[in-house]
Amino acid sequence: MTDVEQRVAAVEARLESAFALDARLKAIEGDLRKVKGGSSLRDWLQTLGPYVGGLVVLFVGYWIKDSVTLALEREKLNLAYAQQMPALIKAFDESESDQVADRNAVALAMYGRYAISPLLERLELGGDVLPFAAARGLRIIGFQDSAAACPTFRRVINDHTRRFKWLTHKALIRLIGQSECADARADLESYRAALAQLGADDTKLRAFAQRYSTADGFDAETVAALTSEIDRALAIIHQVKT
Amino acid sequence: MTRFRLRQFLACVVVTLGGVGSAHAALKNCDNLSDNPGDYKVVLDDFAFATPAAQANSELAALRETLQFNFTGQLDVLRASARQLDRNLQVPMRLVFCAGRQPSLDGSDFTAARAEQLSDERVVVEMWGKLDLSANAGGTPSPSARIGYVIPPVQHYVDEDDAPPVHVLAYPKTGAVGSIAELENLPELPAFALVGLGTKAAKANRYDLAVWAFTRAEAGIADAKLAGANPRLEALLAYVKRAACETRTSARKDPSYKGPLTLVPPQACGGVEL
Repeated sequence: MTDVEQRVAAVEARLESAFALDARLKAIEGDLRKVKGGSSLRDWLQTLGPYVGGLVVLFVGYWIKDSVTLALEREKLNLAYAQQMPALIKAFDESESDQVADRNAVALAMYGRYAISPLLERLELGGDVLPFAAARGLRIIGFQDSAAACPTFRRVINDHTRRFKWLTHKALIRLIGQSECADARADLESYRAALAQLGADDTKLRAFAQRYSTADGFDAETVAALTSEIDRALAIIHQVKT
Repeated sequence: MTRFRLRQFLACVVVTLGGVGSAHAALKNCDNLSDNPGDYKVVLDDFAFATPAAQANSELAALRETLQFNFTGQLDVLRASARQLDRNLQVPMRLVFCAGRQPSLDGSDFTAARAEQLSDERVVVEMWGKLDLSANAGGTPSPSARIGYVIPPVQHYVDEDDAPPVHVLAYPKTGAVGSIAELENLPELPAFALVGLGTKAAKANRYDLAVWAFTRAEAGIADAKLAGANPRLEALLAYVKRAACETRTSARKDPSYKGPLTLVPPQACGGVEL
């Protein structure tokens, strides 16, 4: 055998060995794939990781920007209301007739929850025209936005800090019924129970009336008026629930 | 066509202006109503004048001042009278003057809701009116008036058929004789105030005060009836009598009451329920 033939034989032997190695490697890879059972979450995460990170940053950025924009818009709205409402409140206070007072109360009520406090304060005024119109305004707000109105109405009837007259309590109890404030049921029931304890005992009446801005004029007639107002409100709430 | 439209426009303007002119005076809020919340109140509104001539008349202007002064005196008399009867019988009643408030003369402003609010503010009677100058028998102008009274507690608690709460009376009632005295004193005012007071006192279980007020009111309304037949006053008088009787009965039934009404023999009342 010549040198050339020897070298060709060596190359052929190595080539066969390479084919054998390739076949072995394929067999090993096939076995390995069987053992692994397809691509894992880790593979997916490794693949999509850079994209997911980018998306999260994008969404968080958008949310922050959106909430900041909303807060800014809300502040702008508050400022606009703060600028517009005093003129309406002044017009309400200076109403020369019941019709004008009603119109101004309705206009104030259009500001929704923002008008609750000024109208509530107007309930505290004396007389039969302005408090009456204020109650109408609050009734509109209670109908349109009971979620905002009811908690405030409940706070008033539960208030024991001598901030409100008994007449304001009575008006608010009526508004609670008209606004269908179902959550106020327990408050009304406990108010009613407390009134039932009083009877016509002057000492008890006086002690109970300490929760109002003035205890003067709180008597058995007042107790009866409040009790029947509570009954009416509870009847409405019960009717709504059933 | 153009002339027709012009006429239509003018008609609209006339109707609008006429409406404005005839619209009743405004019901202004009485801001000082919540002062002294424990007191019963007699509300005196701003008297209107029927005509510009009446407004310019010094006699009518003086009459307006005199009325306010006399009402204060009448309330003082009531308070003293109650004290005379019983040292413990306090009548916390005061006159409240509502400047600029001029309800419609027929009393239509006093709705049920308004009556409730006024009653809650312890108003026992509200009075308003229109002063005028009318020619008397001699042809000389003399003061005349139409005065309206509303008794909010009666309107709130009692059916209108049982007790009419609104009364509009013309003065002078009996011709020229005593007309000025009548106009200056308006004798019905204390009677109506007492009806309102009695109704509220009965609701508050203040039996002695209620019976005293109803009894005094009975005499006042009976006096007012002497001027001539008035079915509304008669109905009110009937209510007052029944209410006094009902109050006495309630007092006797109330175990917490130990006053003099327990000594009054029981009697059948019938009719209105307080």
